Amino acid sequence: MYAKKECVAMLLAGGQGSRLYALTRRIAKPAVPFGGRYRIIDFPLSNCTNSGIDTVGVLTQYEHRALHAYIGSGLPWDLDRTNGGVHHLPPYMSNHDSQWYKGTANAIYQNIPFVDQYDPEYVLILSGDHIYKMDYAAMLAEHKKNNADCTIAVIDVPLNEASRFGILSADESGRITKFAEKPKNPESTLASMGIYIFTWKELRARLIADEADPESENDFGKNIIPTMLNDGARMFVHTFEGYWKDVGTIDSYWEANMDMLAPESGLNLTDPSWRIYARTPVSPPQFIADGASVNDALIADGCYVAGNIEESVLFNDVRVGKDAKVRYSILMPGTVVEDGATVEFAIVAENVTIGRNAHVGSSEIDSEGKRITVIGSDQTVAADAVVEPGSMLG
Amino acid sequence: MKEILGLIFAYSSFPRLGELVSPRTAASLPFGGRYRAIDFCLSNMVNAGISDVGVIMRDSYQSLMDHLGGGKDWDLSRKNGGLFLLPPQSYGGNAYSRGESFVAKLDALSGVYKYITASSAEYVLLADGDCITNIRVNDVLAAHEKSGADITVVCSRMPIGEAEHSIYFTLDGSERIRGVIANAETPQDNESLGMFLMKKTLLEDLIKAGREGDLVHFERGILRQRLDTLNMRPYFHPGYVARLHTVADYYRHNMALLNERVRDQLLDRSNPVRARIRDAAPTYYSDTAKVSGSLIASGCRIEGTVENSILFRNVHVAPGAVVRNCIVMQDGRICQNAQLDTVVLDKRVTVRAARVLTGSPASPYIIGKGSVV
Repeated sequence: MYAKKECVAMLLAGGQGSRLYALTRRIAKPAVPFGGRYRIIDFPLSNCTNSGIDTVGVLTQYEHRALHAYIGSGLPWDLDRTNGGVHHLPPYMSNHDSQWYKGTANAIYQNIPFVDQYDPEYVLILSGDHIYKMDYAAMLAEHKKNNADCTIAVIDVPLNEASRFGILSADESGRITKFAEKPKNPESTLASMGIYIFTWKELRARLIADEADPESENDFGKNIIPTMLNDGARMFVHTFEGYWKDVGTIDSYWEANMDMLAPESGLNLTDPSWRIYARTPVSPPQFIADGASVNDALIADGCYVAGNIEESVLFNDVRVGKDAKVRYSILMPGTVVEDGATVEFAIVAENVTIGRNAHVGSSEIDSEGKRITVIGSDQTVAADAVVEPGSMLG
Repeated sequence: MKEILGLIFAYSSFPRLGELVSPRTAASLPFGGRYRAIDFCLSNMVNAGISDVGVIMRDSYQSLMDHLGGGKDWDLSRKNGGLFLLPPQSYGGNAYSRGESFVAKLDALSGVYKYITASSAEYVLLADGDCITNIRVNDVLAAHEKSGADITVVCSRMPIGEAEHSIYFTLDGSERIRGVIANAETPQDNESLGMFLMKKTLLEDLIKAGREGDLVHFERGILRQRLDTLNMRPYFHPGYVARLHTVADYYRHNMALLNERVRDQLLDRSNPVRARIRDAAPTYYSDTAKVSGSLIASGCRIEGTVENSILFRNVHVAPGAVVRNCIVMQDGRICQNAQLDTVVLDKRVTVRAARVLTGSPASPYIIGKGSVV
């Protein structure tokens, strides 16, 4: 019934993203808007399309309604296919069993029948937490060349940050010799990006064995990978160079958006050979009115700007009134900043109204960068109100 | 709602549009930063629930076919019906057996007669692809049913287009159409906006009669013949209408979008205009950008000054460049310190560093598609 696929991608998109607080109150983290017109999940989905991978299972769990609606048939990513394409894989009830996804490995285990129907040689495991552009086809080529059981994408991180990541050591050929999850004294600076290619036959057997182990947490980083390494499986690193950022916290999410305004950050979304696709609302072009000033900003369709914008990202259909000031902030779709209001160092979610002359956030952030103000979707800030720096509404 | 078949005439081209129509027809003219003229009438139809739309083409239609594709971006890629592109040799027939293309509207309709008869719709809506307006077709249908007219024609009370390319009607005291004026010397009242609503069976009768009587023209041919027997009535549309007959028209109507009232009418969010989706990034404004009073599409990179202008997608304005009162179509490149005032740049134009180009509203400076100046 299904034609064979060489490689099937499985995108783990079930995470709650609780450290994004108000931004993930009603949507899963991969569905959080990013960069003026995208959602976080647009990055791995577009990377798949651009890498020639046309079969993607999206594993959802937490608040998946918005995510399913957003992905739909997969048309914006060219993933609406008669054979393959995008598939929604939430946990479901079967006639003998029903359960939530217990861990990342269990999520794939529960979908073994889905993968099997494409009879792939390889499976690419992705997550929906990162902003990056990566050619998975190059990684797959290396995996094949090494005759590997597993290939893990890694990025070189500064030594002082290495203890936040899963750290890998590898020999000269790139073969992995050691794996340590968040080590206190890292032996290497090669951090796992949470992107794995497995030879499916190998992974399939490992998943079944892992599921049978009552002690296992059914997690790739904690169980599958250490076990394979202990057993002497052929595991290699694939070194990635380029922009890659986890957007799992308010600060890193804010920074990654600001990186889009800085050409030297390496995050370039205007390269026609590696487009990031997104589902686009129907909106007219943006209008910049007389008296407005707009500098160091990214502005999407449907915006109306009469005030001052500096170092900010405006998603579609945002309205900024006269004499309003928006600095170092991210305004999500449909938000209105009324005349004379000020928004500084803030993340304002969808359909928020900030009343006349209100003041959100502070004019500076402290050296730790911990004073980003967050306003959740559909909130209203009354006219003349003051929202203290670092607070979270909604 | 009643089922309506939409038919769009997309072959018109007007000599005084000059270089703007050398690569395309008037219906395919870029308009308002991200649209083509035809997007307006397509969207009007789709917003009214019309899911069967035929687009009649004759020459220079590559641009249009490229733009419309399978109709996906207008929700017209359907299992049943959807978008049908109708090039001139689609169905054979009278003109084609002589090896000729159609010469006018009725002749064009005759060529797609089989497409029309195959539709199960009760009504048919004819529209000109180059007439830009935002109209609720269901209001026209309600007026049509209420008046009991055989044909309802959407009209403007005041003249809009060039007289030589326009059709005007004379009305009697009950606002029934009693005369058809073509080739007028000067603009008249009651200008036809080219949008006709009638029962599909009536259109089929008119096409057959046209064939028998050797008529090729619709308004000044078969309709003029039937003035006494058909109850034809105008529907006066109060909204903003742009007809693109000359370069000056093109410039004036685009620039009108910088006026909020016109923008609210033409780009009414509650009757949205759909355009082809391009996957461009949001527009970037650098620290040297100075922008005011301008309508700007996505994917642009603005490092210079832009005032009172319309920028289509993926336009780059380099530092020191000044763009005033201009229309810059897709993929334009304005290099450092170039100065443009009242210039229309067609697609993929590059303006070299420090060039100074100036036009006037009556005769804007036009730079042809793909040029480097």
